[in-house]
Amino acid sequence: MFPLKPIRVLPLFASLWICICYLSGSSYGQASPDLVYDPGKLTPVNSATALKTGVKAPEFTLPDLSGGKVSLSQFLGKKNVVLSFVPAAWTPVCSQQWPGYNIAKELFEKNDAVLIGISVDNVPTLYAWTKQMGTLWFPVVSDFWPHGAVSKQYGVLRADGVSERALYVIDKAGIIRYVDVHDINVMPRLEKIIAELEKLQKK
Amino acid sequence: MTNRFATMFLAVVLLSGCGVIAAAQDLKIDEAILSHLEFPSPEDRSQKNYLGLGNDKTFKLSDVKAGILIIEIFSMYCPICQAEAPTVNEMHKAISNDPKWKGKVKIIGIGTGNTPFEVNVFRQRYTIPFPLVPDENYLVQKAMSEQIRTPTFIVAKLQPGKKPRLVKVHVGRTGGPVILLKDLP
Repeated sequence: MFPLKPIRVLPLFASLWICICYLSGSSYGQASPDLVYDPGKLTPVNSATALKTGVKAPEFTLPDLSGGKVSLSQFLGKKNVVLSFVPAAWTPVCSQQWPGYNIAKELFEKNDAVLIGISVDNVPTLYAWTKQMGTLWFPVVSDFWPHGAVSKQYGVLRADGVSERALYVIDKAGIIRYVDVHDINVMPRLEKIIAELEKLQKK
Repeated sequence: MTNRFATMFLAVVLLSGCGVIAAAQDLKIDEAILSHLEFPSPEDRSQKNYLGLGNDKTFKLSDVKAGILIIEIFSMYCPICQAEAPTVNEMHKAISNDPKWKGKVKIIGIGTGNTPFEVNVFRQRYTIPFPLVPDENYLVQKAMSEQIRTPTFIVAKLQPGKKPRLVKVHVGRTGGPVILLKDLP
C-alpha cells in the first residue's frame, strides 16, 4: 500500500525529475556541444594580403569584455604580443583554441609574452562564448565595429566578414616577427607559437 | 486502484525520463579496431612498466597488461577535459588505494588530434599521474561510429588473445571519481 496519496507526491516527483534533468545536462563552465554551430568545411584561406614579418604591427584600440579597452601600444617596450584572430564564436575549432591557450599561461609568461584574442563578433557574443571556457587569463577584444577594421588592417578579413584563423607574434618594438594565416578548418599547433616566442627571447 | 495506477504511472514516467537522460548517444565502438591502433609508447620507464609494455617505441592497446583499462579520449584544447582532469586524477588515486583495483584497473589518456607537446602541457598543468599518449592523426576516430566528443571514457575488459570487451562508455563529465569504477567485472 503506497503510504502517501499520489496527488501529493506528484509535485515531489516532478521537481525531482526536473532536478535530475537539469543536473545531468548541466555544464561546469564549458561550451555545451549543442550550442556549437558547425559551418562545415570552409575554404582554408580566403584573403591574400596578410601583413608580413618585418613590418610595424598596426596600432589598434578595441573594446574588451569588461567594459574597458585594449590597445596594442600599451605593451610596447614591455611585452611580446601574440595576437590570435579566430573567425567566429560558437564554432568548432575556435571553441577549443583559446581554452587550449588558457592552460598554457606559464609558457607565454616564460617568454615575456601576452596573448590577445580577437574576433569580429560583438562584445556580448564574445562575453557569453568565452564565459563558457572558464576564466581566461588573457584579454579578448571585439573587432565588431567598424566591422572587421583591425582584421582588414592586418590583411586577414575574409570575404564572408569573419577573420582568418591567424596568429601574429609582435615583438616589444612593435614589429611583426611571425605570421601564421592558418587553414581555417585546422587547429594551429601550440608548440609552433611557443617556439617563435622562444626565438625572440634568444635575440 | 486509482492510487496504485497513478503511482505506477508516475514511476514509469520518472524512470523513462531517467533512461532518456542516461542514454548518451548512439556511439558504437569497434573493439577490434580500437585494440589494434598503434600509439607512441610513453617515454617514462615507470609509465611503460605501469602499462606492462616493453621497450618498443609504439604499442597497441591490446599490448597493455591490465584486467580493466579505462581509456579517456581527451584533448588539451577541450575545456570539459580540463575541468574533469582533477576528478580523473582522483579516480587514479582511488584505484591505487583499493586492493581490489590496484594493479588490475589501469587508466590511459589518448589525446585526440594532439601533438606530444600539447599532451605534455595538459599533463603538466594537471599533474596527471597516469600515461597520456598523443594521437596526432586522429587514429582513435577510426574505431568510432560518430565524431568523437571529448572526453569520452571507455571502460574495457582486456582479454588476451581476444578483442577487449567494452564494459562502459561514457561521454562528458563523469560526475565523480568512482562513478566509472562501479560494478566492474
